[in-house]
Amino acid sequence: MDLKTFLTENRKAILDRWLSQIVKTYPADSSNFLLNNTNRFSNPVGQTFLREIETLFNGLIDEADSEAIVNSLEQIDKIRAVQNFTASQAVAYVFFLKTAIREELDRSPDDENLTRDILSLESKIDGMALMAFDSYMHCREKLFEVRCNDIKRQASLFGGPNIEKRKHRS
Amino acid sequence: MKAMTSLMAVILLILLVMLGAGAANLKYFFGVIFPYAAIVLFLVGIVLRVLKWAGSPVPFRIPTTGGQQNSLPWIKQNKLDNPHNLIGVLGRMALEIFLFRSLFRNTKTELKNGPRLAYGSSKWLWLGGLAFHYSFLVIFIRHFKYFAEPVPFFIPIMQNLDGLLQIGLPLLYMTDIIILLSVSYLFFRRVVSPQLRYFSLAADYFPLLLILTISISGILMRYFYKVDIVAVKKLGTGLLSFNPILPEGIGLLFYVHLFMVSVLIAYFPFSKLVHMAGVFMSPTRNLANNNRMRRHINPWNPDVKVHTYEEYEDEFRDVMKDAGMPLDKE
Amino acid sequence: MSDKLQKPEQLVQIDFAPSKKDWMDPKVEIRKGTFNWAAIPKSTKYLDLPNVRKWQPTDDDWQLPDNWKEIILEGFRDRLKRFRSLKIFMDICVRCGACADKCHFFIGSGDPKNMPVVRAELLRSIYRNDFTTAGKILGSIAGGRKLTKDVIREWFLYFYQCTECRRCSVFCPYGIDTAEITMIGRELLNLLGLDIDWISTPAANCFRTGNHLGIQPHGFQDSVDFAIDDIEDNTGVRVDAPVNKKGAEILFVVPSADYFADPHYYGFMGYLTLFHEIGLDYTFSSFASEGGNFGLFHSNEMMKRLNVKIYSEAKRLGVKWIIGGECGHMWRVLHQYMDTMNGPADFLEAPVSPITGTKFENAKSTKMVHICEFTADLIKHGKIKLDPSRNDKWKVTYHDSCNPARAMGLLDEPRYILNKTCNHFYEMPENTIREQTFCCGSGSGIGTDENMEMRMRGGFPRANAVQYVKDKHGVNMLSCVCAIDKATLPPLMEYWVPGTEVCAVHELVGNALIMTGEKDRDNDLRGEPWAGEEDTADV
Repeated sequence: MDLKTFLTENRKAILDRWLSQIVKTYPADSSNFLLNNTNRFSNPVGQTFLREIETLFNGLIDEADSEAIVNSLEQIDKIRAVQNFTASQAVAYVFFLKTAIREELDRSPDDENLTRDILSLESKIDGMALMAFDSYMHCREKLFEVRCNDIKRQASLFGGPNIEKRKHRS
Repeated sequence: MKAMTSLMAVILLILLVMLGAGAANLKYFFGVIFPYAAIVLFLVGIVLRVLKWAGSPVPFRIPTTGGQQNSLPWIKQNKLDNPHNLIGVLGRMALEIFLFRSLFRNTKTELKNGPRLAYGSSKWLWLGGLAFHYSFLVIFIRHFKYFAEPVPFFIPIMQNLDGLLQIGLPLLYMTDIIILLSVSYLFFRRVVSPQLRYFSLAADYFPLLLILTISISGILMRYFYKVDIVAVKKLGTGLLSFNPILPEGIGLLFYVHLFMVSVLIAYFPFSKLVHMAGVFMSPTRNLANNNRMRRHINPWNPDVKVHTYEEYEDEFRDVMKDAGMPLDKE
Repeated sequence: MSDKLQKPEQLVQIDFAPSKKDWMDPKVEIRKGTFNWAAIPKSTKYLDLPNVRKWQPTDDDWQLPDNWKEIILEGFRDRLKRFRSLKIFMDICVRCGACADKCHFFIGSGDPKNMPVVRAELLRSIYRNDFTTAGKILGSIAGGRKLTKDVIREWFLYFYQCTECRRCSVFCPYGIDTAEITMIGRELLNLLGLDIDWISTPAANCFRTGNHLGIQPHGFQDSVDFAIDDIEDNTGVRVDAPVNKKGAEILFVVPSADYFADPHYYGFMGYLTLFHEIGLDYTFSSFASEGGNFGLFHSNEMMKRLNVKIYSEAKRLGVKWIIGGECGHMWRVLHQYMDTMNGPADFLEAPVSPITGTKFENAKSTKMVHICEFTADLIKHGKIKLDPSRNDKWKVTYHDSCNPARAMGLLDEPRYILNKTCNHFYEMPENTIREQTFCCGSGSGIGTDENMEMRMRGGFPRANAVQYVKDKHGVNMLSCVCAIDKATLPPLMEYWVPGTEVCAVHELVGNALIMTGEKDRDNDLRGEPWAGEEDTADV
């Protein structure tokens, strides 16, 4: 069996493991809410994770294009960039995929082909992790940009809207 | 663990009554004195609690509005979720008290996605809560037959309805099953869900375990280890007519049942169980949203330091004049 | 992001599961991006608040008064005596958990102390410990906690991490209102001088100049004059907008952001065009130049101090009744508190629309009508001409602001107006609007820049619903009737749903309004062309 077949066949189990590991980075007391509430409006965080890791997984087995992968990473990073995480904690979720796959592999019989393919797969995941770093940084920059713009807006409170126009007129 | 603390407390209470009523033969204490004491505690406690609440005023009218307000005549008001008069408030309170309206709000789900279990936990809470409270009420009323002679007319009717399934002999009451299921559900959801476990206190597990013990002992007496009903009724009518007698032949199981009921009654006013009375007094539910129609009075409306227009004009008179704005004093 | 870098050995073990903590442990991390700066002494002094000093939440020593414990317990006892709500809410919670996942801060952060039930337990545990017999005897078994300085820090973090939006209260079987708990929690904190600047400074400004921004009377007059000029540029009609005019029929009170901030200002222009078109006899007051009331986020006394000017100006100017502009928390105060605190307004008359003759029965005691009630009535009676196609470039959705929705019930009036002023109006999903609306995440005085991370978390559920209608219907305009929303939704959209603008409902009214004698208008109130040029979003 080649790795791709293995991944395709065990898609659901791997995704479940992956998601539950991501959710474990939140306080255990609230984790069941993130996992079990399936309403995308009452539980946007959990549902975004659920949705986007599937796209990422598809990317690994070549069913999603790189644009979709970048977009998915950004959806997740956007959330984790404003939560109580350090940078490494925030993007570590990509590496959890390795653990999820390994755990699933451990459950299946040894197969030479699989062990060989796994190395190249892990490089792929590493690449994805680097992309996640980029996207995380992008989100943090965006956050500070938003903050700057907010300060500007606050400052303009004291000059009023259309301040340029006003100066011009008076 | 907090659930453990509660479990230990309940076990201790059971041991206490078994040793007391059984080994030490303090049957009069557990059969007569303690029940009376519990009822006195309950009545005094609840009255004091309500008086204590009532002693604090409602300074502001702060209903939580759950629908469209009463405004223009052609805009349809949601009269029950956002009442503007007494009738509406009564309706809102009735829905809240009899049907747990607010809990029911949780039930809406749509746009499910993903393969996971449907979002239904809150609906279960509503159902579990409602099932528990109603079966408790029915069982409570059913027990009047042990206290009143002649038995009030509605009790046989109620029993017939409750035993509608016509299973077993003695007839199986549906409420017995429902209360066991619902109390177990209410207990286990607290133990299983990490979220609920996080904020549940010993005081949350304790009453549930107490009620569970009461139900189980009651069920055992009805269906398995038959108790001498005639003797129990003698005790019951005696208690109610303030002429207590302690008939022979009442088993220990009954004393466990009675004692736990007494504990529950005595515990009631000093615990969260006072929500039974408190729900009627909650200012976000029992007030009409007619704030702009009728003035609400705050008995302690404070005197505060204010800034008057005169002071304002004094400070800014010059700039106001320059800007050509009207002034009170030139 | 945390300030401290991780030690290498921590990085080696990639186990990020946070350690399990009991909620009773009050230790909190005061982390950048999640708290608000402390009040500056100048403001607290001006308002005669206690324990004036320079301090910051990041300090190790918060310089509490020596008898801080006594102050808190005495303050608590006093409030239990004054507020039945507090007493009941302390006693009857059964911790059923119905509220747990209803808070936008919990949903967005996963922090279990943001579950409304736990937020209340922070206060309740002290109540049990010091005010109930069971707690005094059983201590932590009965759910009691000792009052320590750590508890105060925890209160500070979590009571300024609640926007008093009341969403949880809607789902509570006993109507327990976390807003009430938070308000009283903040009152207690303020007794120790633990005020935040974004509340105290606007309150101090408001006390002095009549508005949060500290705009002096001539500045106010200027703003109104500029709006008149801008409207003339736009429509060719010169409107009249009197300030401090005695004997006008109606006093018009708006939140100060309406005439000074963007995009509020276009809604302000909308009011002026509308009032001009119907020939309303009204006046502004330069002193009652703020309907908003940051006192609400401080204490009931502060709220009263800031609110008193509205009735006193109505009396001084001799008007008959009052109209209030678009603002959320302002309407909480006007609807639920003003008449009680500063009434009775027996010098005013029950409001009657001079244009349609409609009696506003629902406002006959307070004598103050919401602009949306007033405008909806005008439209219903056909008193104004509207061309909704002028708003065709906008695919509009509507965000119910917390206070008008859950402390008033103003739900269908703005929707009626929107349906008459634009052709493309789409609702967000059912469990995110009306009484179940999600907060902007920045209300109740915590909408400032230093806690931006917290705001983004808290606003995520709202933004997520906007994203949904954007994907489904191409929505590009989020309308609302709240000044705080208009200030805080733009950054929220910028982060989560780029390309979505925010506007006042009355901006759309002003756009659609066909004015008598108007020139051939080719721009909307923002000065942008009606339609055609798409993608004005990134301007």
